Amino acid sequence: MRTCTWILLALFIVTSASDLFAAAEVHAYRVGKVVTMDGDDRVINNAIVIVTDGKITAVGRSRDVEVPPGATVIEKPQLWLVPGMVECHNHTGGSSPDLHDYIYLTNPGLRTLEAIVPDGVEMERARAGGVTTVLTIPGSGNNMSGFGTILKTAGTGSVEEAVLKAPGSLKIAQAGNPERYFYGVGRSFMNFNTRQTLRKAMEYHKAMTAWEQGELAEEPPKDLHWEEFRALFRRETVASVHTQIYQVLMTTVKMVAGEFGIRTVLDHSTFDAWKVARLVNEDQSIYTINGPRQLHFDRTQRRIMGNAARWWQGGVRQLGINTDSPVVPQEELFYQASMACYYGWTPYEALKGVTRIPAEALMMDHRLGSITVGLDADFCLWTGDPIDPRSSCEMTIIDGHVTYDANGKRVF
Amino acid sequence: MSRVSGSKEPMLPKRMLPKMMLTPRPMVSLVAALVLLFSAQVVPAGESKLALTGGTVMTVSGESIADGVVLIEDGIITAVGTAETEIPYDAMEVDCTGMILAPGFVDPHSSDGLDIPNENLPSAPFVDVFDALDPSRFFFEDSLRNGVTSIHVMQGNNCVVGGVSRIVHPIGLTPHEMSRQAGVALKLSTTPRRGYGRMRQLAELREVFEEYDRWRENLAESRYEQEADKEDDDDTDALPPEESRSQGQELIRDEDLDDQHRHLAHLIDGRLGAWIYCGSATDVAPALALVAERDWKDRAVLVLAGDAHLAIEEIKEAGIDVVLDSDLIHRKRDALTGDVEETFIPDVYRRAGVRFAIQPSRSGAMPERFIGYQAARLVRSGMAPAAALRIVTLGAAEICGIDDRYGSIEVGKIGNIVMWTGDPLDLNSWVQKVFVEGILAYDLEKDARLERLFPEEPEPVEAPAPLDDEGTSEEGEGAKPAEGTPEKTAGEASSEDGEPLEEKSSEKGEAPADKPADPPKESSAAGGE
Repeated sequence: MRTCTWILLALFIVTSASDLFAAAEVHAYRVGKVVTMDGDDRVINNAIVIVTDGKITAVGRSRDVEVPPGATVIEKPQLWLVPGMVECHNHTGGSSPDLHDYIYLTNPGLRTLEAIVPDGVEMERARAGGVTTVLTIPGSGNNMSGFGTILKTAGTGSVEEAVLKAPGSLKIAQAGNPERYFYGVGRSFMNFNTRQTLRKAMEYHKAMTAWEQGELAEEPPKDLHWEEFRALFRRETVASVHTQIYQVLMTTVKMVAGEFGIRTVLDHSTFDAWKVARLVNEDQSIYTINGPRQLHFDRTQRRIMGNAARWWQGGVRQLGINTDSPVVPQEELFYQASMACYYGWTPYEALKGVTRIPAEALMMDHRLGSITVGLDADFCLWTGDPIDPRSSCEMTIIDGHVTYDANGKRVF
Repeated sequence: MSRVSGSKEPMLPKRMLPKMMLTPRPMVSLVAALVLLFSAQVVPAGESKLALTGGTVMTVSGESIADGVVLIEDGIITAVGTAETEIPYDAMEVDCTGMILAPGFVDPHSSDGLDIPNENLPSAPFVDVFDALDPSRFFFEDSLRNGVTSIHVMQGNNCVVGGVSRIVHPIGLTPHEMSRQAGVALKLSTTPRRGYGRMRQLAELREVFEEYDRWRENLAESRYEQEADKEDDDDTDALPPEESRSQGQELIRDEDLDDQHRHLAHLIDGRLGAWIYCGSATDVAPALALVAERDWKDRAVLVLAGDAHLAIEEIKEAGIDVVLDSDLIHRKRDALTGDVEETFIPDVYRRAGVRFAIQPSRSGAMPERFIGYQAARLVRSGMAPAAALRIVTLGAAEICGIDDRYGSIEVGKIGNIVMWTGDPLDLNSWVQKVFVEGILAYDLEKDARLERLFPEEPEPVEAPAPLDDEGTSEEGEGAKPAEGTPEKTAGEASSEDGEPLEEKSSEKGEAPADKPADPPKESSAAGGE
């Protein structure tokens, strides 16, 4: 027993000492093209990206950037370096039966953090498909199914290492599935009930805020049902709203974003929802994360329409794409973007719609979504434009570590 | 053949779009005709003055005025008169010469504008149609096209208590923009909902109000005690429960009402109407009993269907207004002879002197969709045309309790006016323009869905070519407009001496005499869906 303790202690000292004294881990990626997706929309040919301890520390043309001595240089002059894709609507980061816990029509107090499974076949395929971050949320079998978790797909051992932010969003579902709850519910009751739940949460938040600011003599009792809603009302996290068709999307904008002032992400936003574009434009904090299903057949006009293209034409610029994995497999996020282009959108905007836009939507753009100095080194090396289905992802780097390399074991 | 080419045409958006542009807003060119209509409508009413001049004004409330003037300011009618009526210098004038101006039709009961109406929760007095209103429904657009400008949206025929209704205009991007009056009436039903028997339905309905009464008594008692506690601390004036309950009734404030009971309280204090659905004659008696018991004669309306008119004596005696089902004919088969006896239901109420309204909208049922057609059938059954027009305008507004603002062209009412090409009850008349709150909400000239019904240029009728051999060229001329696109056939006809036409017409092998009348008919079938 005693020797065991000593050995452990010795090991601990050795490892921490090596951490302290070892030089920082530096990698230099020399690639043919970097699509930075940064604020200036820079695309740099013959570029170098320097990664130090999991963060991006330099980006620029090869001749401008000095490779620090001791850096490992990865030479991929034929490949594109593209930010890791961010999936806003994922149901594969946790164990399936636990994620979809449909107890009531609205379930405040549930959170997917309890059900996260950080690695598995789905996560491996996500990495191989260029997806480095996912928001794992519960399903849409009821109107409010719990808080989601933002996690990286690196496949590290523990939940703590994988999780980036929890709660990452509140899942609200307003159409297309919750109607089937129990004996079936109509639109007016669903909206009434969702509003009542949010009102109760708002009241709790206001009472707690009043207490914190010294306006109440007595501390209100803590209630775990409502505790995580506070971040939502402080606009520190977002609501992912499963919403589609005109009537429902309009209600989402008016009720969730308008009445309650919640930062809202319009997930799916399919069918004729694009007709609400003008309303969406009135609140610049709203993000529209379209899909899956990029095509809409408008019965009244008898025309085939591209959802993303219609949103874009309507002036919506904070526009991204999701897969609703496993409805569409996680590794096909790029393919959803391709289809959006097939039906009339533009490839560069579509690529932004699976990288920087979802990162902004989830309020994680200070960590993810672009190749910018200071951000997490989450990126992929592609043989070409990821939106082009002929391109393949050759290497995926998450937090500076190579988590997928097609040279070792090719998945796709 | 021409049907096929007609259905292909809408796939050419570039050709169609310029015609569909209704407003100069930059966004408009990007979205569809439906949204075009909406975006034209969301201009807020206000600061606008509109003078409709030169038309015949059917006021409904009074005499019709030939060459009349209707002035609308900020959405409200401010003057109705003859051509001498003074028009403010800053009013925009719309020339209505040769047209008829009539108040917009009032749709007294419809759930067609809702996305999944609540017919599931049996007792839901707390729900509001607001939360299910779907402004993108084709129903609203079509309402404008058919001259309906105010709609009483209501759900819950299949409930016990079906929630609260509201008055909407068929224009706007959101329910906020469409709603004109919230909380019009609460829907109750004495007809068993699906899966319920009669006893269960009526027991649950009774229980709703029993429970409300108990809840209100307890609330009154606690309110009395709260107020007594405020006034003094000693218990000297502690009253027996009955006493405090009756005194506390007065002390109940609106904020004391909870969601479950708020609308029931509003129904009982008269702020909401009681619209009771009776799907058959059997269901009328319990409805009338409820009305009598609660003394709701002033606010009750029966929404009737099926053979409910068999209870006409009871309805007449109760003196309650009714809203009729869109199916106006009741058919009964004699068990012995097999003869079918048809009853035109409105006649029954007209003869009995019961005030009634007609609900037009049951999407899918063909003629019943058109409220003008329904009113025309009243004329056919012997009602004076003016009275029939009144039924679908002012009469319906009276039954909904909104006749102070809707239903006629009178000073002070909302400027919902329809410009017709002829008499509103004549099915050869078209809705030319619709003004909702003085805003142009619909224009036949710009209705993209009807453009095939009224082609911009009539098909050229060419003089018959010299007869080479009898029949063929004449046949060819006749069949021409029906084949393919007009330009193509015209080119073929001139260059190739009618040969291909001959082939085509021989394919058809139809009598040539009917042909010239065909194309407009066929294109209307393809384009008017």
